[in-house]
Amino acid sequence: MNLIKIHPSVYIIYYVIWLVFLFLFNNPYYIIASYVAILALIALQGIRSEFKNIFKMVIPMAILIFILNPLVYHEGAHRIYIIGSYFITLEACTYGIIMCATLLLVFLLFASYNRAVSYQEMLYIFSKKFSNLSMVMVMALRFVPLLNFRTSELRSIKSVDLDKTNEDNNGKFDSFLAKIKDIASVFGVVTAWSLEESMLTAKSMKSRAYGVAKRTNYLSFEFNLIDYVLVILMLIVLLVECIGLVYGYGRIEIYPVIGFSFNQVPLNLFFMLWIIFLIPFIVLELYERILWRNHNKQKLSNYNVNIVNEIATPNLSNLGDGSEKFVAQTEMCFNIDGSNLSKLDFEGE
Amino acid sequence: MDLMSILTIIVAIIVLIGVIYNVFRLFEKSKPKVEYIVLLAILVAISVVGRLIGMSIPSIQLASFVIIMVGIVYDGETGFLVGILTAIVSDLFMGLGYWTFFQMLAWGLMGYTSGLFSDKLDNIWIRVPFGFIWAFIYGFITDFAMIPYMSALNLEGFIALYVAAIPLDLVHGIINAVLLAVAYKWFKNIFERNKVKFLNPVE
Repeated sequence: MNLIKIHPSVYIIYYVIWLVFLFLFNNPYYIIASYVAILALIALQGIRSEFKNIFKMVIPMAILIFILNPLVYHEGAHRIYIIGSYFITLEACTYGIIMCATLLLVFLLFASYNRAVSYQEMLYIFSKKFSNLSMVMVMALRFVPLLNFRTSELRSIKSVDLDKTNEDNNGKFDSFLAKIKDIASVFGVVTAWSLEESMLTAKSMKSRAYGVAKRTNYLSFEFNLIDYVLVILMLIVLLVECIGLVYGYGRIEIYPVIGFSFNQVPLNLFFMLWIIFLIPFIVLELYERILWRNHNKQKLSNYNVNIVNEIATPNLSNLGDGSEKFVAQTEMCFNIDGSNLSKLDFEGE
Repeated sequence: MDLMSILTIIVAIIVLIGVIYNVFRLFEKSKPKVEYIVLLAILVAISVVGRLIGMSIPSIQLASFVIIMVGIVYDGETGFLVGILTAIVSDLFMGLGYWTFFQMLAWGLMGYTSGLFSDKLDNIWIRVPFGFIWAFIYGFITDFAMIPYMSALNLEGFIALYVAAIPLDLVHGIINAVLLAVAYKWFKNIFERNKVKFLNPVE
């Protein structure tokens, strides 16, 4: 939720610092603390379909890292013999596990980042320096759904194919080629159509005096007290944790001999400060929830009590910006698995 | 994690940010015309749609083909910009992260080199291998994002990383090669017509 306005650059600094320290720390306690924080944050921010993609992408990679690392890297004191004289080491396995955990964490971190900072806010920061390029990006973001729409139009024209000779191909390879041909032909027609239309857009923009005066922003942000507080907190954490890293806090020895056991809970200043660093945005999200709930209760107290229970707990997962919808549309328009064509066929009836 | 590999990736990302920042600065300084801005936007949108087509299956995408075609028909700079912006905009749909920088570099260079060799790429026997090899270079550059997860910066690790990536690169390369062989003439006509009609009209 965005009830309390926070400058997007604060978010960006926060996530960058978190990412860099994720790469630098390899103490399991620090990683577990980060996991707890990121899962809480994502749960509060609301889970999008991006989440599923992450697991689809990460799990093969993580398995790959976990298997490849001990096979390739043979250093370490504790040897585990598998076949004859071929061995893997306990250290390499441990390292693989820590790497997998970090990889998943990095992906979760970026999922949370994409949820916290919308693309408009990113473009707001970007457009201060690069006004023309951010214009290009905004227009491209608008053209993507437009191209999807045009593709679906072309699809519905093509579905009125009276002599369906293409579908009588017997071989599997033939139908595969026909499919590629089909996708390429639709893609080419959409390209030609859109290029032609886009130049009309350009002429229209020109005739309405685009680029004559300096452009202003759609969004406006300013640095408030809360932003200053957060930035100062982050800078303190950055400084102290860097000092801690120099003295070896937050890192464990893996090679040549593993030097860590779960009994060594790092109860020191550096770990406490790391936990403090993880907390602020979770607290903020919780606070916003409470504000939202109270606000709704106040507003609806005059109405029927039954409605209150339904509306006061909004389904936050539906507040996404709809990017997953575009993707689904694209896949549907190009008929990747062939099952969606029938839906489009009967849409007109 | 190995400190060397972390430092490598951080330095690489800082260098990339510097390069991309300067390219963007040059673009802003050149004061582009409205037609050029809209053209870039629509080309980026086309290649983003080409990437989103096969989103559920990794490495099936038409974006590389579009970027190479843009590099050939327009010039290297346009190809570079379209490549960079495709990476940013499509990652806004698919998930932004530090790997975006490597995709930006890979696609940008893909567009730029195809602009450099545009007169030679008319020959089908050069064009098809060009697309095929670029798929592997693209894989090589983007796999750099996986360096922090390697035990140490040694040759064995690199080889294992790239061997694991070969199937994906192969699919990417085959799609590039087939499209460059089959659809080249058609897309060239489309882009050429647009270029002549609107960007630099013949008086």
